[in-house]
Amino acid sequence: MFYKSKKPSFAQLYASLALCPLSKNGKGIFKKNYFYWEFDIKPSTFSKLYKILLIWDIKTSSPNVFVLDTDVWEVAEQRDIPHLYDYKKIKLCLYHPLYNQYNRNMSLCETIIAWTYLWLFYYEEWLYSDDWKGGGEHPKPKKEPKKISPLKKIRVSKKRNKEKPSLVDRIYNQRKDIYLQQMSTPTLL
Amino acid sequence: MTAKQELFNILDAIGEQLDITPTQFNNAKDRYEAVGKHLAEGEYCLINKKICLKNGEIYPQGSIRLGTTVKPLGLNEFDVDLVFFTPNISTDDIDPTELNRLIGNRLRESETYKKMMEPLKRGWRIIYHDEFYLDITPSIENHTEPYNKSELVPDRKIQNWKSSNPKEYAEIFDATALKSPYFSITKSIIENRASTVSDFPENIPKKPLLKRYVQLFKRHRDVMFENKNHAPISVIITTLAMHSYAYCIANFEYDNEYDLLLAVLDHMPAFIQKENGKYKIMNPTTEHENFAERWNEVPQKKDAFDEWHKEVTKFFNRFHENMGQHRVFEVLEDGFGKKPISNIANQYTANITQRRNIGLLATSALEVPVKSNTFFGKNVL
Repeated sequence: MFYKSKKPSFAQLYASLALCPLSKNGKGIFKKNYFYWEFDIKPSTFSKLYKILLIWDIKTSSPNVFVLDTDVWEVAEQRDIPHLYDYKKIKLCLYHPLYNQYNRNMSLCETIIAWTYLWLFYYEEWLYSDDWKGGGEHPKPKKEPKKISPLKKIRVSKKRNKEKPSLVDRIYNQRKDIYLQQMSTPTLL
Repeated sequence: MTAKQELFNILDAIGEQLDITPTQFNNAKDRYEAVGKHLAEGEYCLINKKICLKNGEIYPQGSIRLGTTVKPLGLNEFDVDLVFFTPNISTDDIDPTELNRLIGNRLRESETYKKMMEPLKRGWRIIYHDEFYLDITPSIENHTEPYNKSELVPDRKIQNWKSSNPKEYAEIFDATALKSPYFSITKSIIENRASTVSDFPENIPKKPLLKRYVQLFKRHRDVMFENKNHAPISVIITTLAMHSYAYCIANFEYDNEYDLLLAVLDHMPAFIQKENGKYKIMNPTTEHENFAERWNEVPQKKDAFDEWHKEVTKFFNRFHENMGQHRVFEVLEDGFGKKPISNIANQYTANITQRRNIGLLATSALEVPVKSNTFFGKNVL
């Protein structure tokens, strides 16, 4: 093997997802200014199968990872799921941005994708034990899970809706709509 | 590994949690041997007769002997059931009450046992707090069945002697448990499944399957009947499971230990006999011991067995591959209680974390390297 000093191109990053054993079951779209990749993860033998949506805006240094799953959305309405950037979209917080744990020269497979696996594994365990065993840090450690009043949730989401959606948000919404359509379409036997 | 194999691994680990530990077992053995020695050294003889505790022999019976012990719910003490056999005594010599009294007197001669003993309906209990109860039942020779090792023990009302055969019962149970089932070789079809992390740490089975099954069935019974009467007695569950296991492995082939468990459970009621309107589950090692005798006096007991069998069958069929790991643990808690399951869940997660710490994301299909990360996150809002 030779030492590659060159930063992988955006296209190479996209292509690596189809080669990664953990995400190769998915498919995506590659555009000039972004790509997304959608794949399924089942983190343990008895786990549910979760749909993962990875979106990367070329102007940013790292991808966004979302879980598209009606059960997870439902849980998020009732409990504070740990390690999320966005409880509504289930945008995962997979690494500490200040610890130099990820940059785009690294294998996506061994970082973001593998961490998504781990996140889901610890998530299901947390559903059972109410104790996040995957470690990590929260900017403000919470002792008591904070209960968000439904009213507050609505207010916040309304406020967010007024802002102009970002590129990532637009793609997220598109994919979410498609996911919901597929969910409501009965599978033919 | 298939989901069913993994499920059985989890069940096996639960059984191990519920079992008496080798240290506890050895402590119990030392203690009951000491009790036996004390009893056999007593000069307790009835006048004009050669009825003595001398030369008596103490030995374990029931779950402790069979290897099917289950940690009692909400108690720290295991039941260690023992027989104190006194040779050279016949039914004409002594009735059970008298022999019990004799044993009690001899126990009281020890300053130690004196403080720890408690009368039982059919014998004596010596209490070792936080460890175990040594429950001693007296027995004498059974001259009516010279062709087996049966003995006579007090009947339920301790007015008469009835035949029993703990020694040979344990021998045939052990022999049945040692018969290995033939599992058809099924390759797990990994390619068709999404790759998965984290198979349960494969433990090498430490106990023959039949014994593990009996333990699990009994634990389910304990949990189900925690606040209910007429729980099916252990010897009935054990005997039916033994017959069913022997039948299943002799006639069929199974893919895995979990499928065999379901089959054993399923066939258990077929070994309940009914003759002239009376239920019979005979002790296979002596002639007149019907384990289901009480069913004929208290019909609710038979109903409770049927209800348990229905429930335990439903319980073991509640697992499926995409239910969610958390649901597996929740369902297991319903059947076996919270404590053993949270221990197992912790073990399970620790195993994945351990592999993560050495840079491996463990999946059943393949092990993929994983870099170190710190899950982060903003506040929820």
